[in-house]
Amino acid sequence: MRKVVLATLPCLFGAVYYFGWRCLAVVAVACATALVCEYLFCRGRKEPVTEAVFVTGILFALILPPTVPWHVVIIGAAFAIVFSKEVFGGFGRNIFNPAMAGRCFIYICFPLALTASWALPAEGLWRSPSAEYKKPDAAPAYTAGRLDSSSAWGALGTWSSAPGPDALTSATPMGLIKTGKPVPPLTTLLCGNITGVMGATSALLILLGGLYLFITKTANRTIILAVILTYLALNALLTWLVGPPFVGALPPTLGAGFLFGAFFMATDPVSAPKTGLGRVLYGMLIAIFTLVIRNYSIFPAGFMFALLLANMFAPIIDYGVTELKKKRAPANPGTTA
Amino acid sequence: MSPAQPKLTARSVTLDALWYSNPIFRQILGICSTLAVTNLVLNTLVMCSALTIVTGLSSWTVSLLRTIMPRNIRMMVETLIMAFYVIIVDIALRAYWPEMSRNLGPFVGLIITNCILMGRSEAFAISNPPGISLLDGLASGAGYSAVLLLISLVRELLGMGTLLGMPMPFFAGPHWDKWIIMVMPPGAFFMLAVAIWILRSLGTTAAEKKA
Repeated sequence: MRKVVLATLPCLFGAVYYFGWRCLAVVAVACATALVCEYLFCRGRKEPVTEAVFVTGILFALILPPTVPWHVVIIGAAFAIVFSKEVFGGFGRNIFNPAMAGRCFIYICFPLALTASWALPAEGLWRSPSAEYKKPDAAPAYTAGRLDSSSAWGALGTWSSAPGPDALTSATPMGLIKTGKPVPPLTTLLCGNITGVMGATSALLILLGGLYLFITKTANRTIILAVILTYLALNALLTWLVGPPFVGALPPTLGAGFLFGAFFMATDPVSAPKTGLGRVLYGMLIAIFTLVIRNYSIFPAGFMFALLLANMFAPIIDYGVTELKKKRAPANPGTTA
Repeated sequence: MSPAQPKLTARSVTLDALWYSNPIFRQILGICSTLAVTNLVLNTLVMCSALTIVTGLSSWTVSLLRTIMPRNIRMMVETLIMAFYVIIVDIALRAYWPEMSRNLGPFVGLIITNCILMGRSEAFAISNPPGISLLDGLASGAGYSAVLLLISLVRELLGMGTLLGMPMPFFAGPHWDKWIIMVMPPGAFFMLAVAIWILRSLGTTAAEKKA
């Protein structure tokens, strides 16, 4: 669990770099709320408070918009711990990924706070590609009212990159794809100079933390590969077969937090299946649900709903895979089960 | 429910229906309407009074007919009795309060499927005299209403910032971020779960009380 906290550090740095110190405060508030809720329940059961509560708090905060109001953070974190973890019996017994369930609750409860406005990121080091992109015919949402911080320090000197309503926009990469507008170029998606949730703007920073999880085997490799490869393949195939609204394999994978979800959310060891084949099926399910919800529904938050749906199927996938193995076992004389 | 207890007083019957065997948080009966009509306090009030009247009167009628009713067709007769009262309530509501009738939609007619009705008839009225059966039906309805009103109070306050349609001082203000999920059906699930959780941790069951 400590390794997961370590792996979120690059994303946390990216959040502060692009959106200001308020992001760190949001993470702190989410963690404090989660800790208080966890403590109240653990005291009743006489169990120790685990580090997992900080993982939930940090991951929950990193998938919120930078301008999220404080009461929304507190309600969401409390819901994540109490209703998606403690009521099922605490650590290790939750059906749904707590961070995602908390986000889902506030996403439906306070839709305006979570989807209406996004803070523009500070420009930081990578100005040249986005300057190209600032041509008037590109995407007007990205040009107006951006925080004037052309220094290499990004938003490190500011509390929030959105000091006023003119530094807000309604466009995220997924929103642009949905409305058929041009998406930011790949270099921008990689560096993270885009609007979006706090921790999931820069694909490179997510990859940095994600690969650390991948190499140290902290997160399950099968799930990560199944989710990402299925999503890449399906997007490539559908771009070739259908054309718009599909815009190639890379932009939807790199933008809008898909990578963050694949590395940090889908691999939650408690809510994911435990069997090898089950994990492959689970990853593919997530990718397929994400694709369908992102492209054919009114919600842009495809990954969130996809993950929660796949969480629901995880126990029955495990059950099916184990039953299949049992059926095959008698045919094989070598097994001693 | 257990067969008729040795001594049935009006007090024990009422207490049982209201608390120790409350239809909502002990027996978990009649949950469908809990989810459907609790988004506004006024809707809940009307629905609850309709259900209380129907439960009381059908329990009373079933109890009156219990000696002449053939055992093997008693379920059908009970259903017919309930349908009779439900239709009367539905028609009365449609005639005198058409607006509320439209708000509640099909749920007044669906009182007939409410498990509390059949539950009280089968568990109590079929083996007890009419007077106490009427009391038991009314008290069960009241127990159901109390929990539903509690849920609808919270839902309307958090979701709309009003109570009985009147804006509340703090919750209707611009600084109160309305909980949209409370107006939607998922809000009822969460509130019902919380209500059952709190009320069950407050008191003992009928079985525990006797022990």
